[in-house]
Amino acid sequence: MIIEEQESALVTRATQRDHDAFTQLYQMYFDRIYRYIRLKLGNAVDAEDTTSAVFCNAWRTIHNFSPQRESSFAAWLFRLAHNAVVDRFRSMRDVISLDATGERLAIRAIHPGPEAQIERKLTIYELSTALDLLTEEQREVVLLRFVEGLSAREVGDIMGKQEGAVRGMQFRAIESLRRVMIQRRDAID
Amino acid sequence: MDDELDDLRRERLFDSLLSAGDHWHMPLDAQAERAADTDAGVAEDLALLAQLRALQTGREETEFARARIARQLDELLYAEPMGAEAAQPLDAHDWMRSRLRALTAPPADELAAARRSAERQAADRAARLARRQAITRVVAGHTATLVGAALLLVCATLTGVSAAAARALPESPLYAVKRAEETTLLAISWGDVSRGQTLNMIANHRLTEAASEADLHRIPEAHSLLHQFDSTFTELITLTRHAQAQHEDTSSLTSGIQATVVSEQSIGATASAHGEVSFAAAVTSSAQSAMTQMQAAGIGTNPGHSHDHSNNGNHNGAGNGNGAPAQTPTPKPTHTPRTGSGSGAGPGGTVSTPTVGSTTPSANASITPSTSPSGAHNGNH
Repeated sequence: MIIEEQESALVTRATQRDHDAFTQLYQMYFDRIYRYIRLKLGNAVDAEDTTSAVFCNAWRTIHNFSPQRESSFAAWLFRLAHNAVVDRFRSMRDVISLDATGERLAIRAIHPGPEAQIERKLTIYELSTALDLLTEEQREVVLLRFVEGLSAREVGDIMGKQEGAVRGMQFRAIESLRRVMIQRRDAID
Repeated sequence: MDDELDDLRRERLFDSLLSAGDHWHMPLDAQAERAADTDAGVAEDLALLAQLRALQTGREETEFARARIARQLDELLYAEPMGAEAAQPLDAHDWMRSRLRALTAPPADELAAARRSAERQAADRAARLARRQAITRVVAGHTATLVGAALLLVCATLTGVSAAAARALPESPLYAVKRAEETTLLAISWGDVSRGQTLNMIANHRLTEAASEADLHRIPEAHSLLHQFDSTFTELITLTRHAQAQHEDTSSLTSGIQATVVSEQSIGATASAHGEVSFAAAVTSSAQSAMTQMQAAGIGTNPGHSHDHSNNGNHNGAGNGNGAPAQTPTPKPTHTPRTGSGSGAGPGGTVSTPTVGSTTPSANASITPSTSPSGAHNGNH
């Protein structure tokens, strides 16, 4: 509760163009936003560009943020990230990112599958490749609800769905993910 | 039908355990154990979820991205004035005047000391007068350059670029504005002490820029800036020796020089702690050279213990009695990672790297982070 109040105070100050407050919000949310975008886009170069666009956009538009309209500042910020990723995909629609392809291949080469490692500690690589096999909505729920820990209501705000619909999706998403990962591990073994 | 009911039951079990875990901040592993007795599949889902929540991107990759984006954001943020300032626009002319006065005007005690010195040594006064006239002639010969630079400075200030330029690094387009400001301030600094203070400020700029570049792993640029620092520092020592020979009060200047060398030593230690071996060695070498020059000039190497006789007490506000300068321009804050100490914490505050799901606000007031693994940053703006 105290943390939420502190965040709320920072957001209020940031909406009044307070540099320090926005700086603190940046430090608080950078890891989560970057990780979300990194997992969605699959490569570091695009993830960095997109994360930068998200925070620049957040600073430009933070005066539009309203606690009454939004479920939380986190939901608002993740929606900016979600939209930025969608824009990024649109811009890349006709152009396959050679960087992204190269990086995926490089990761595969570096991690040919040391059983002990894959067995027990989930890696970004493992999740990233497993997510490719889920539907877009399931992927979004896994990332926002499970990896980033947003509430069902916040995820619903970002995806434009009801809270109940998100609750319904989340179980199917985690089940699908678990099955995919079991299949992949069986294939490796 | 039974399967559908079973799925619905499992979905509700999963949702209730997940919601309870989030609400009461219970570890998901513990929730998975609770589910194990009822449904092994749901228990595995929750265990997988616990792994997802613990997922981290590579620290090096994340910190690198954080630093680069922070620099872009810094420029964006400081391109506009802060809240209250935005509401009350600055009187740019007044601000400019006061800033130049603060940076270039000699302190009151220096004027008094100069007067006493002039009364005691008429010959020295004549020599100084001759030197000043020579400088005036030189300046007159470069009037166009000065006017241009002054105009650039005024324009930059009026448009708010100056503040952003203060934090610029060589690769930034604003860096040219920063260097032009330095040139202008140096040109309009009258007297050895005032000029020395401006040189010390410039030396500090090069030093902080070198540290920032090293933090960003741009080592060749860091070395180049360190070399520029060395040149400026040598010029500063020469000027100080000249001022001492003229029996000018150099206490504030020597204190500033001492602080600069202490700062350099700190940067060297930080670079060493961060594993920047070659840069740390260069900084150490530079600091040793600086101390040798200081000793040759009769300047003590411990701040607050200046060789200068007039630095042991208060003298009309020019010093603080401990050797700290009152008028020495402090280095402008840079927008890049501030060097930290210890485990990577910066001098202005320590912050934990946000973890998954963490919303702990940091005490950090600077966007630009240290690239240290701890993710701690300082808080100067």
